[in-house]
Amino acid sequence: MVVLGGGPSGLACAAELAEREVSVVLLEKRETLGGRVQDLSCKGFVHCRQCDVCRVHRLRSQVLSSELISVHTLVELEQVERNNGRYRFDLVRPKEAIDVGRCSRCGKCTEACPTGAMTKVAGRIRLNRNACRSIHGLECERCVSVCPTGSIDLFGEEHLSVNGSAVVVATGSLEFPASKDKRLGYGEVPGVITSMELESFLEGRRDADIGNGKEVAFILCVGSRSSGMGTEKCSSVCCKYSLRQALALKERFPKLSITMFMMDWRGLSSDDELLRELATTDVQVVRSRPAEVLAEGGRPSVRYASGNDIICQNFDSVILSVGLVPDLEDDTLSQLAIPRDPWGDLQDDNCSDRGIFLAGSCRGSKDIGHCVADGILVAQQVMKHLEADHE
Amino acid sequence: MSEPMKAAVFICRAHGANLVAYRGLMKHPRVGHSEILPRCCSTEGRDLIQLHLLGLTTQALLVLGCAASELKRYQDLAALAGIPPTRVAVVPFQVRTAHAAELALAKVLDEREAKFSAEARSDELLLVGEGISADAAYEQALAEGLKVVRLAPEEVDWNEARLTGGRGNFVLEAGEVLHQFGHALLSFDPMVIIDRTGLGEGDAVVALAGGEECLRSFVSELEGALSKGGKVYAVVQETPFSGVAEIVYRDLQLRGVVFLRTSEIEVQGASVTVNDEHLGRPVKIWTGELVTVRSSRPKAADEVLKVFGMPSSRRSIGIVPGDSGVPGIFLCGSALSAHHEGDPAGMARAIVCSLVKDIGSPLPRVPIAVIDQERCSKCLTCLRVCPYGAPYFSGEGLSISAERCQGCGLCLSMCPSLAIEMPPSDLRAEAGSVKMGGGLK
Repeated sequence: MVVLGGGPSGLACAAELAEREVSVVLLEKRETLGGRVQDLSCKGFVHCRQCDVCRVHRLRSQVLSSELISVHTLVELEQVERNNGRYRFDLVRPKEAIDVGRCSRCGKCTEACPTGAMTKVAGRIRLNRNACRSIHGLECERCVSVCPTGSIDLFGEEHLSVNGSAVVVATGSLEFPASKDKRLGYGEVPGVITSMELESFLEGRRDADIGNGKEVAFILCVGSRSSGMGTEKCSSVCCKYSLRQALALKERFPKLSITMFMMDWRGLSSDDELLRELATTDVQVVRSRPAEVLAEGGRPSVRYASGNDIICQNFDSVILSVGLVPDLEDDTLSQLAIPRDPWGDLQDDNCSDRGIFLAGSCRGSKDIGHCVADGILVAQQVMKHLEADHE
Repeated sequence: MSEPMKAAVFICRAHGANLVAYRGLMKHPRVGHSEILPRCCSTEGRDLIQLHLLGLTTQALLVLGCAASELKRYQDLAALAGIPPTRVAVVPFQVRTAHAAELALAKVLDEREAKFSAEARSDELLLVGEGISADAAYEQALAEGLKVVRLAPEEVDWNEARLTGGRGNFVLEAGEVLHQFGHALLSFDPMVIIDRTGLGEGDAVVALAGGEECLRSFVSELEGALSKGGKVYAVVQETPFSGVAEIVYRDLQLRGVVFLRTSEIEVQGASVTVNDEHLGRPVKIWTGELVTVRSSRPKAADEVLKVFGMPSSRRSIGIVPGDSGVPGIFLCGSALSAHHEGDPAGMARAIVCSLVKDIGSPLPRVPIAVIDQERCSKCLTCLRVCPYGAPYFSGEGLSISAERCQGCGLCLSMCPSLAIEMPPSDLRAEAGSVKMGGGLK
């Protein structure tokens, strides 16, 4: 049993299968589990807003502590083969950069490293791959040259193979690249950030021009409901997550002025909790789809139509609520020959006959709770398939 | 009793647990045998533990530093040596304090008589509700082999019903019928209601006075109106087309449906006037038939939630799908979920799958938290703070319901009179720990 993807659906599916005594191999291309939810922050400070981010962390602990699930991270797929109904995945992953047997822990590499990617933690040398210049293709390798024992190999790779009689594809989706929508000024106009960058700000990992006394705008439906951008579907999660982000910001910065530009509230029922909470705040909601975000005096300015007028309003920060788009370039999926629908999402037809099951947002955008539910349901289907196989 | 009960403590080195914190426990007077194993959860480790337990020198088992999921296995192991499952505990490696280990030791050696049955008397699931989610949940429960009993809301007078007991031991008195069950699943979907008014000869107007739960009916009414020919107006406050339904929205517009946006419409004679937000001026439509699609929350939902001890605004909390926060009771259906539920049948089935695990898991050892009546000042802080609704006021004072208490410790920390304790006081005195609490001063 192989699960491709360590995001909420993959984790939920693996956990459910392990509960039912099936051994699972979980493959994840990033270094840590959780998928894109790892980059999100909790949005319920005083009371829970059910953003479901903590749920994924809990699932991760469950998966890591389960004996039946073996997890391989940082893997890249080289080849898939199917023999007699069993799938074999040939993977490659980077070797441990520091050979623990040879390393003398002298710490010369930590002094030589320009970015601080090499650190000495708990008596051992540790490499942070995300911060390493050489791994990202820039010239460096100073640690390798100063190491007296020659125990550093940044580019070593090792191969491994995993087998399974069924495959669960839970590879997830990507965020819409905001720079693609040129009118909204991402990357050009100062102060324009995406909602994912806002999450980093909420975590305290980055700065943004947001605080008490500032004015902030949310623009919804970026990369959704737009044939011009090639994203005709509604991503169905942005309204909910933007509302939570706005309410969390309002809770943290009561004097922050927030304006939300939206077309419709989707995914919410008429007496929804988030909408009720929104009504108690002074967040302005403008039903309009802004035409442009321009730079005006170093600050972003949103140009939109309201009734018969065209208004240009200045803000300190503009947050683009980006939608979910399918991962069209994923090699694994093309190797497994999974068909896609006209909008790029994976489709189920006949996949289950081949022992391939689809779970989560790779099948169509979903919020985290629904990805988890999907993972649980797919685990059920896999169980039936495995039982049928044995007959 | 000549000699007090002793526990066997095994410490696992394999998961990176904080051994320094656990070492102190090894010299505890109530610990008969203690050992550090390289890996308790492996077959060798388990064999060693079993070997020791079969020697019958200790009457309880405490494993420190393993994964929480191992508990069941250690309980099975201990059962072979005649040790009941309540005398087995695992302190997971994520818990880094010595205090937690002491509490677990005390819990495992607790000799007080359980005031309430620590055994689940029923493994039946009571499904109360109706609608798509309830039907899907029922099917899934049958497919999982659960003993499920379906109760339709109209069969019971909820104003006269009373629920007692806790997880594994619920009793619902409804008139003359007594339902005994271990777990409950409450499932309600909003009802979609379609009102039709013929106004005259004119265009078709389909108005939406609800949210996404009305999507299917709304689209079907629009399709029906389109098939009759003539102009069709759709009047909404929010267009309910999330996800792939957006394509349907576009398609309807391309086929000539005019969408107007407002929160109120005025009906005068044979015309409907809509003050569209965007156009900024009223639109008067000579209407043939006015169809209104709206939704309503089933009234029974609020009554049922009240009987099961939950506020009517209760939504499922979400860590485990369907979790209501009250042990043994699960919530399902889009009337009881935080936001609109796009796939009610799928979600219902996922909730039943999670429920299956809960039915199999053992009940907490009771009593966990006890109120010292001499110190209790009846300030009701514990009642207000408890997330599970465990403290209740009975004739002679406040007590804590054994079924509902989950041992979270909130009441203990907040009690201003320091009247609540969790392990027996004699053991805590021996362990040398200070009585905790006094949150509100």
